[in-house]
Amino acid sequence: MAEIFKIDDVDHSLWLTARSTDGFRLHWNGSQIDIELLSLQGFRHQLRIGAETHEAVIAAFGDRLHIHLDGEIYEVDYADPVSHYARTLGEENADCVRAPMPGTVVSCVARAGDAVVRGDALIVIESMKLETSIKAWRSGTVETVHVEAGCAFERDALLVTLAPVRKA
Amino acid sequence: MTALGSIKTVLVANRGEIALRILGTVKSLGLRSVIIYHALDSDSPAVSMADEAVEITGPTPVAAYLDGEQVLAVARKSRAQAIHPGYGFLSENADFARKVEDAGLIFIGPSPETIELLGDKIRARAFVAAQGFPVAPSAIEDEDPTSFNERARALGPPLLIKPAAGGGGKGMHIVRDMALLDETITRARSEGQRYFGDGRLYAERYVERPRHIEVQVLGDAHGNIVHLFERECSLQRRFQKVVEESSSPALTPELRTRICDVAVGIAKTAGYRNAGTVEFIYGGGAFYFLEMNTRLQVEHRVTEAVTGLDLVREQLRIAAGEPLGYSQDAVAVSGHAIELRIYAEDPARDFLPTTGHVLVFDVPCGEGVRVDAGIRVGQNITAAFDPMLAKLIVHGADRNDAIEKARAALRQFVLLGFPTNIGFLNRLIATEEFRSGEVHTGLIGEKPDIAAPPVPSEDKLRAVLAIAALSTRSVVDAAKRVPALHVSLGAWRN
Repeated sequence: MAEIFKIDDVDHSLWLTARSTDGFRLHWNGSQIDIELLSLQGFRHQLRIGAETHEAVIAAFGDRLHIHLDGEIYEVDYADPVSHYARTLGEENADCVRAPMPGTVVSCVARAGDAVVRGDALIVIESMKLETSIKAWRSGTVETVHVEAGCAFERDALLVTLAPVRKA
Repeated sequence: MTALGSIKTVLVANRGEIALRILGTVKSLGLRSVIIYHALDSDSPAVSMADEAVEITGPTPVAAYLDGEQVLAVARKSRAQAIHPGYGFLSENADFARKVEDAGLIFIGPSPETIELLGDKIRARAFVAAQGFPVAPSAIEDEDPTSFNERARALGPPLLIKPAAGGGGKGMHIVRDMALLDETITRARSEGQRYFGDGRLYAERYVERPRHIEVQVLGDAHGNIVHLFERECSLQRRFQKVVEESSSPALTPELRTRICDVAVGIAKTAGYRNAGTVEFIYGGGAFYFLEMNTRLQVEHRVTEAVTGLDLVREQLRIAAGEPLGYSQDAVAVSGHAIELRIYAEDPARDFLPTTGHVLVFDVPCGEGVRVDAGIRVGQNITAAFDPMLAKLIVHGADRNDAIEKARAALRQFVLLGFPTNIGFLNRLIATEEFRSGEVHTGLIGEKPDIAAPPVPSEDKLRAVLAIAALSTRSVVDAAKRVPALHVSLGAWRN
């Protein structure tokens, strides 16, 4: 069965097969290549892929892998197949905005029931001593403002929900 | 235990990389060290390095470090003779400096009167202008609050609106469309009130494509003042510095002499003692006094790299009453140094701070490469403090050599657990603008294409996915469960 890895919100489907000798074979994007990962020291590893070798630093935290490869960092999430397919059904066309970072609410401009036009300020938040307006990402009706002035929130906290648009 | 004048024990009233950096010099001088810490920092490297560590508390972690009374109580109890405030927190708080002196202790910095004079941007500017030094055309709200908006309007666009009591770029706004002036003034006032408890503002002519050039000065208690040349700090985001270097690629030898002389002149007229920095805006061939920072700067390391001086050591010697002991002629610059600030932030998401656990922290090393950091593996990086986690400082034979060293060091700099600006810094210093030295404070904003990493090539993506797959036990186990026979038969659907 194909495994799903997510990088920057893009799903990548792949699977491995074991080679009779050491290492594995990666099946991805219509091609196959021999791969092997050797542990060097601590978090350092050497990836052998085809005829090439790369040095990488790899750390895992929960289902997220943090990979340092050639000076860039990649965050890769493993989606186990069962929950992956359940999730893609639920999160289509998100109607809510979540906090981009932790902060506090300075003021709530919009109230439940308000009609808003794309670009209208919904709430004003303060994060790292900067004021930012959270603006309507589409036109619609405010269903719920989940926060109130003065309250603190964590990253990804639910801030405002717009009433879902009826599909024609 | 040795002593420097009357100083035997130094209390470091700060945290993170700067606390560690100050402790390093305090220890090298054979002095005893004490550090304050909030519970969030209890396992930080600075706490383990100090001879004594005392916990402080507060309604928020930052409030604890801002609580001068608690700091003083710790100083008395631990029998410290001197307090080093570092940067931020209490470093430019004249009331605190006065209380330290009143308690019979030494504040490692200028006198409370100097901090009062230079810490208030409006007063500092008026003082500097009155002495005949160059300042930018401006409107000061305090002079006549009712006509402030009108006077600001009369300066014409572009304008910079700043809180009078501010610092660190907080509450600062550029106005290019004068129709937005009143609205911007209201917002800046509300921010100034909230961050500094002071809503007074001032407006000044904004120099387009300005460069930020500052001069490091040192003054002793005997009236001797020298400069340690300039630092160029034009690469900024949100008005905060990201990359600093010395020397500035913008200055001719004549201009360098002039700007450094003006800095020394300002420090002399102010009767400046200890380490300080005179900041200038430079553009169109002219430079204007911006402000004076009456403390050690984050970027002091680049000056140390090119002059060979230890600025904290100089600060301690000056605080102990020792004369500088050298003249201006003895201060020389060797090579070129660049500092890159490592922030927990996501350049692709408008440089918003990021949070998470430090999973791997492996820093580059080598000739001319230094990393100052106050973090350790396992530490939780929260939004409670400033997102600057570390500084990378490189010293090369010349600017190109320093850039190459910086690029190599950034590639080797491994900090995993949350997005950082490390990759961005490497793209930034690889730009033609940086390489040619044609930088200005708006440059980062003009280069949105380097904010996000380039889309990985198919080969790179394949390598990342190979690593991810081989690092995920269930994926590897699933592959191992399949008999090799089936594999060899190719019994796999695509």
